[in-house]
Amino acid sequence: MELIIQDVKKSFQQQQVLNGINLHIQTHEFICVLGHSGCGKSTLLNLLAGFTRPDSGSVVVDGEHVKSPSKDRGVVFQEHALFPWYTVLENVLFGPDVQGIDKKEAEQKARKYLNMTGLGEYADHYPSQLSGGMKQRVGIARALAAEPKILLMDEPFGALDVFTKENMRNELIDIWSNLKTTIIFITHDISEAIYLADRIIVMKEGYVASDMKVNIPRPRQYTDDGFAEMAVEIERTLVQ
Amino acid sequence: MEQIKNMDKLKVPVTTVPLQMNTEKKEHLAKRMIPILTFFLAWELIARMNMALELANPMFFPPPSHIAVRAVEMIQEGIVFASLLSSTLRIFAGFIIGAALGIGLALWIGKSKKMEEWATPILNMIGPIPSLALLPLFIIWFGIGEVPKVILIAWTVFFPVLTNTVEGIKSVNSNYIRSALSLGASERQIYRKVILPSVLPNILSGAQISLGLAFSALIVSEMMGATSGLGYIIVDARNFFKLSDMYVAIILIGIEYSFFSFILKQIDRRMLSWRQGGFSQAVEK
Repeated sequence: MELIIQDVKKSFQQQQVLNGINLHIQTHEFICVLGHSGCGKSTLLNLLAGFTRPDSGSVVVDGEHVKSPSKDRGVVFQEHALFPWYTVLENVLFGPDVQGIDKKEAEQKARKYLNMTGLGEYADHYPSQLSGGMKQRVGIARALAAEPKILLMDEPFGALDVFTKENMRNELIDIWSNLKTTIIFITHDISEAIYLADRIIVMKEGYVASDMKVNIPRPRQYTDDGFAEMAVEIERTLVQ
Repeated sequence: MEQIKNMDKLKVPVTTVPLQMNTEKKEHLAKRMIPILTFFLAWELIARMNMALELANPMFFPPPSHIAVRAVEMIQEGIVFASLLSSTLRIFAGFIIGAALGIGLALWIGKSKKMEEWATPILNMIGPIPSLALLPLFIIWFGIGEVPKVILIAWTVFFPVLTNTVEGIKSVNSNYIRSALSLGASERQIYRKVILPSVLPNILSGAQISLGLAFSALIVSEMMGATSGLGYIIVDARNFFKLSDMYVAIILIGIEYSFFSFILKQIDRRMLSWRQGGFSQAVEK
């Protein structure tokens, strides 16, 4: 998998939101896109997902231009966007099912990802019966069950409490190390980005302000060498 | 069973709930019956008093006991069954046709901007016309058989179902559609698996609104050019001054309406079991 973003510009009602973004993303990378609200990070994610189209420039995945949403690019939304009329299992089954995978195989797949996110026991519950963290786990399982090449995550832990967030970060790292899916993770939380990412893209006013590698070995701790220094550096970039 | 087992995991004391519900339900039912029984009792007393004192013509205002006797006679004569059957068939046919066309057109409008641009002004022009105004026209066009009655009912049901469904389609959470697209769903699959289930509450509330209007349409159409049905009993009773018959028909209409409304509510409950909300979910009493 290779994702190339070339000179992408996007504006809404004469307001320039993305001012020429250039990025090159490799397979298995865990990327965090970090920035203030309104810096264009969600706009970028929508372009990558294929929900919107750039005014100019191109988004290319494996040599193909992104023109519409596709099962190759799974999305996890901040508000989880689970189908409330389906049970947890039916939600996770949605991807394999619409892709026409054999019923039995599809269910096996769905159960595998549900177990991976620790929700095997809740297969027959409706989303409304679950807590915020559990809903988001289902959201992740649902996106993974479609077996995308890239997982796009739009502030997925933004609405969760601190403790749940902490657990979810660990679990996400576990899942990612198992599956080695490429992940693009949008966040405004500096320590979350350092904790998770191989590479942090800091965005400011529609530009890429800096692109840095995180070399702290996993599993990471907030007290690790270099963690605090990196946070300070990112903060400086954002404030400048 | 499966569900109960799972509910246990959420630490909901499920086992005690059904029992509680049952006695609660019985009490609730009894509570609701008291005012109704009182109503009929008061009617009986006032009508009897009227018969004794001859304040008004007692024929106009029979006591419930006389009506009940007449109802039993009518049941034995087979009029009740025949009328209920023909009225039920009419409303059923009209309802299904009207709702199906309403949902169908709504989906089409939801899908195509052009269709929306063209259909909306026309529908806004025709929609507000009370359907009963069209009945004589329908009778001239389609004769006095079943066709104009069914068409009138279908017409009455069509508009509330259509507008509710269109409204529902417009307010489908766009993240649901985005999720479905990113999971690889085709447009057809999105209609079937995302849009339809999410507008189902709107469709059903449209149907609920239509039901009352459909009953008015049914009764009026049976009053004009029919030889059977509950509305027909009423005009027939007027022509021959059989007021007890009229009361029987009026009460039957009430019962039939409640029956249809009950069925719709059951469908609602079955199909929308996933939905939670409202005051009872918001605050525990």
